[in-house]
Amino acid sequence: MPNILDYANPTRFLNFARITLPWLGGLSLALLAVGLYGAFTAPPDYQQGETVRIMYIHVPAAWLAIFAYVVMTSAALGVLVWKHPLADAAQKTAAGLGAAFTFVCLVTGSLWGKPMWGTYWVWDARLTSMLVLFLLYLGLIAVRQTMDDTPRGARIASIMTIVGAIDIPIIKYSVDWWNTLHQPASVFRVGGPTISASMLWPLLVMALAATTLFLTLHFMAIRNEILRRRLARLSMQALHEEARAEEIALEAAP
Amino acid sequence: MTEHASFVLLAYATCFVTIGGVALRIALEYRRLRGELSRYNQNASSHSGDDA
Repeated sequence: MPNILDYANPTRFLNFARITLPWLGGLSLALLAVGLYGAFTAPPDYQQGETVRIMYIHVPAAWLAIFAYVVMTSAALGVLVWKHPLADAAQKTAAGLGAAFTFVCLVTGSLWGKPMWGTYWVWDARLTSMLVLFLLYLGLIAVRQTMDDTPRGARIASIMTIVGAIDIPIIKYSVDWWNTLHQPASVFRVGGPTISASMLWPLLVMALAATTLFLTLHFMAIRNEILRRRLARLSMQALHEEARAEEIALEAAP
Repeated sequence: MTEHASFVLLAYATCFVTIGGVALRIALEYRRLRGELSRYNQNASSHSGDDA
């Protein structure tokens, strides 16, 4: 039986991605269609009215913003412990996706906040810790862009990722540890969800759609990173061969 | 939808433009990389043909 670690090889990963990506992409689109149908046919909330529909994209975006960071932290351990090139590619490419989902979470939250709280932004613990996550993503992207593909750059980005992981439990428990304007957990909580089933199922389908979409985009981005590195290696080899040919030509010259 | 419809529509638009933009960028980059790699492979095979 093949081990999951067998796929932790760039060539095997490319084959794996070639087979799984069409299915994963198709599944994402199907789930997105069902989720959107549910989001726009679910009843309006008795307090929030139609504004509750923002929740169907805001909550999955928030979950995925955190999920992407968990993926990055696991990959960072792979970089530091095993120095694995695939873990490095996974860690590098997850940052951009995580930043995109965090951005969506912050903007949709603001657009929900204005009609509900009367303001786009408050320096509330949940909102602030989410903004810190966004800045962490931007910082990691900047580190990667500055240091190219050097092992040192990968190590620094991995250490930064692991240190930044402290923000994840802070985001999760901020609504319990501090008095926040943001509401406490209403899906994953002791005692079960507090949301009506008619609103819960579209939310869960949208969350599943966002997860499969993230995996699709992440696999695509890792594939790009592998190809980019192959291309860089080939052009480096071509330069070396060119230089060697020039050297031989100079030596042969009278 | 009547009340606050603009907030809802703007939220969905932001989501689709951001995630759609990321997806498009990744897909276009893949196309570019494949094109460049196939050019390299063609060059390499034509060079090896010259050597032969």
